[in-house]
Amino acid sequence: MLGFVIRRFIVSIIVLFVASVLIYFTVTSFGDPLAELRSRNPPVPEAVIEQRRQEIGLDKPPVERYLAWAGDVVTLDFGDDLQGNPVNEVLWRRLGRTLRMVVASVVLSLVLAVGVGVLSATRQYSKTDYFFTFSGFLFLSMPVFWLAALLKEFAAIRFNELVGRTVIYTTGSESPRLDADFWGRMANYAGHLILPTIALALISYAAWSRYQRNSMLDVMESDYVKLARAKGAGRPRVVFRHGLRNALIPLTTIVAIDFGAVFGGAIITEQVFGWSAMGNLLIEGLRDYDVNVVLAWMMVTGVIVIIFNLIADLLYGVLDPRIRQ
Amino acid sequence: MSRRIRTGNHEHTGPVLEVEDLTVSFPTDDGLVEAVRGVTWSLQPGRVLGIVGESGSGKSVSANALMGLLPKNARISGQARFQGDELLEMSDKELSTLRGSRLAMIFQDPMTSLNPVYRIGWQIVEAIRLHNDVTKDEARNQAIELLRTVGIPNAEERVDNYPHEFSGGMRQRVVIAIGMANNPDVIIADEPTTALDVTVQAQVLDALKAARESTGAAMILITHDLGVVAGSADDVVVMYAGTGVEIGTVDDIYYEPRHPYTLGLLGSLPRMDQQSRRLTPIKGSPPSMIGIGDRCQFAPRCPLATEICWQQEPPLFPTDTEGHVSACHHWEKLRDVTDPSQVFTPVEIDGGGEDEVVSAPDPKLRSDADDEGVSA
Amino acid sequence: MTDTDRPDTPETEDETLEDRRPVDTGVQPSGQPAALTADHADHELSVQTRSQRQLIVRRFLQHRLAMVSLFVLVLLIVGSLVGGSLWTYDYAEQLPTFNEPPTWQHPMGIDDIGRDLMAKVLRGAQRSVQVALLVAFLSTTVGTIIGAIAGFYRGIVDSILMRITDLFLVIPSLAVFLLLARIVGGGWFQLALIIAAFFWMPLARIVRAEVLSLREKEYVEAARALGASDARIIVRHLLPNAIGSIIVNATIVVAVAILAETSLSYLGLGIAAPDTSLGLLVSEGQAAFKTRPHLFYWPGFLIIIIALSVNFVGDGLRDAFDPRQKRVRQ
Repeated sequence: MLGFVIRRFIVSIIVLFVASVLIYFTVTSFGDPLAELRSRNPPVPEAVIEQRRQEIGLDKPPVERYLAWAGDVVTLDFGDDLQGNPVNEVLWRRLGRTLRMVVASVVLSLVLAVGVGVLSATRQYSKTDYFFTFSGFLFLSMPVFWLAALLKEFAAIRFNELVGRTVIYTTGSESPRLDADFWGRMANYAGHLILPTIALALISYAAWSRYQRNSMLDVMESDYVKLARAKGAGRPRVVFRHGLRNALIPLTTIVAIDFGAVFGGAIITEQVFGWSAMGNLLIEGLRDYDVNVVLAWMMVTGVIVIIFNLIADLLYGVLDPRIRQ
Repeated sequence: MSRRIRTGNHEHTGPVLEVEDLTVSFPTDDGLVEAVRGVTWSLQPGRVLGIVGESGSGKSVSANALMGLLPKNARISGQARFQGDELLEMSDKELSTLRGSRLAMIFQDPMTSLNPVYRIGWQIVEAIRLHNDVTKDEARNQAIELLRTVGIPNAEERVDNYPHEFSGGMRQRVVIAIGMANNPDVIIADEPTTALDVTVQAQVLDALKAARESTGAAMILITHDLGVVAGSADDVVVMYAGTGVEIGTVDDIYYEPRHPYTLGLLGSLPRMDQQSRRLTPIKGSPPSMIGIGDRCQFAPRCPLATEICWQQEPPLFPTDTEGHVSACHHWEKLRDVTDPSQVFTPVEIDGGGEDEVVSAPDPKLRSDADDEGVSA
Repeated sequence: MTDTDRPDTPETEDETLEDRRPVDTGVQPSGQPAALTADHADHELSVQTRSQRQLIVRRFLQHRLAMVSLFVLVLLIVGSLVGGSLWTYDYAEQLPTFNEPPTWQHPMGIDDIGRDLMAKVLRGAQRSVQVALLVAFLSTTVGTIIGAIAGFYRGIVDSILMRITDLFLVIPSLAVFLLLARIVGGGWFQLALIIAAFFWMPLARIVRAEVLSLREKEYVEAARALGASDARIIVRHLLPNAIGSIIVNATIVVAVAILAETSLSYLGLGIAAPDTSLGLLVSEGQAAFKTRPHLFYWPGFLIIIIALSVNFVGDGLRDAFDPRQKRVRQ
């Protein structure tokens, strides 16, 4: 098992390196950091532009520039943005907010998907199964931004009217200048979190529950489940100890692969709910051709995706003894 | 062959398992599939009943019906008494107290029968502890003992292996060990050797025999391999198109077959003891199990078929020997048959011209004179 | 139950093969025994796939939900592709009135710069459908080719292609769409290219897996022994057996692509004004939700109905191709 972990870890480092090269050269090729300086009116003297060029190292060969950048990134220094402020200043706070939303929604959709998947599979072709199948297809076919806007306009406002005060917030990740104790702060975070989490979770829930249902159906038809029944195991034992235990294995890979997609999908949800988080950072960075900001976003996302793939690999090893050797 | 007849841990006398007019059908998009159409047989304590037939003849389906392991949409009727108790009327919960403790089952494909995520020992211990109030350690020791019985070397180490670390034959032994774990009264072995190499088959049959000897269980041995049945069974049910077409002792079936299908099966079997014999295959294929009419289902493939075979499905007629029954209108014609080639056409051998004809189909026996084996 | 079970005397077999010969363009030069026999092997496969095909078509036609969805889908696609040109007003046409509520003449009203909103919705639907169809076409082609090559040649080719596939799979595609859209610019064609670049991977994996298992089958061995070229084996023997997965996957891609395009346009990085798409329309409609909610609803409904019917059609196709998944009903 230890050898397996080490092997996977080394592979992850290599993938991260390759990804950083790809990210660096794709992102740096897309904009000229001096464009803004050049287009100024009155024109900036050529000497000033040249000085700035040297300052940010554009005169050096690309490989050298990459190494310099990568060296900084390894020490978690993502450089300065166009305004000259360290990218780090905003990056970590925003990452925290996005992760809050993404983790909450992954957990929510995972729990729902496994539950519904098992329920649908064990009651195949029942009304319950048809209901969840249809609603799953509906969520799969629904644009996140549309659903999010609906939730915002109806669910939140109705609910708040019902309870007579604002419990569910529709804008932002937390109330500005919030002055409250720990529990007050948590309640405030949760109130802001609830809608974006639901909006983000429903899509992945729909895909995962379909997947879990099919995987569960396959497993429940397998010979070893039949043998478990032939041994005299009761229904719950057959469904959970034998069925679900095996049907969960393929889902771990799917969830890990989709984690990146959920992280990316959060960009939309954050826009709809006006969160100042990673999505906004990327969109602003792209709009302003802010290379360091975009690079930071890509690298952080890349690391998260790779970490989750590593976790999935390890989980796979834990769950499936056949993989471990 | 040892025939130790032992009554189990119960008061019941007579057959341990009696199946009467068992019918199983499945509704599908294409119509009702009549997989089993009225099968009747009984299993005496300690005996081995072989159920033989082509794939699709309903032999596995009927066994799974007894165990309550068919999909929910299966429609089952008839009677199946296990030591006097009606199995088909039991709820899944009631059945699960019998399954694994008094009724055990061994499946066809050992590569998929064991749960890949649990150790061998865990899976045997589970079987034991589901029906017995013993500690994990006691159950583990029993598991090791069981593995030894079925012939697994280094049992005390192998018990901690996962299924994927075992070969197919070894896995089937583990499944047998699970089956015998609670000293069942009946073990149903559903094609236990089909998925295995020929060399391993004999070892697995030995393990089955060991299991039977140590538990005293009666056994149902389902197979399409007449050779397996010849070596292991006491009684035989030959199934065709969802029903038993001939039932008798193993000697009845092998030496005095009274159904042309049985005869045909024997003729398709290469035999070491009869050098000069040519194989006589049964032409055609089994009927579709949807919308079956009132006729002998074997008629389209039967060289003996006459008008009556197409009009009426034959019941089981008693034949010359007590307990030997055959569902053939013309069973009496088979009294004079000593070799399958008297009824079925032997296969042509290429380049033959010099080989002498051992025997030719007897025109007096056959209803048709052509070689097609199909009568209209 | 009929022809396959018949004893195979050569003459009868050739006859039946001639009879059931599907549209076969591969006319082989005679006089080359190897090519002839390879052709013969193709025929055996064709006979099999043809009756298989009839079964699949029959199963699909019996799938009621899929048939209804197919009808709705065809209606919507045709409607959105030609609807704009049939409608009285052009989406870019400036009318003398502004900000009008719905009337019979303008069923969705007029926006604040004097454009007929019905025309805009039709135009938006057209763009979105165009992008989705193009994405499905491109990604299916790329995915099939990469998967087939990886599965057929195995070894180092397979390793390289699959590592690239993995890499594409883990990248948060939406972010890269944004990045590329910024670089390439926002025409509908470029947008389709960008989206297609991230939708081919699942299919590549599926096709690879199928080709990997199929290439070991006896009839492929036979075709190879008879001198069929690699390309021929892939196209004639391997891909026809993977066609089910390919078609089902293509339908899924249409659904996901329409969501991707609308998301990008909603974020302002896809199709941009003066052109429009359903995503852009939702974004505009959301801004005016209080006053004209139908402008938010209708484009959204259109997206959902298109994606939903595509998904249902795909589900019906999956059932038809893989009846194992669909168990007998009570």
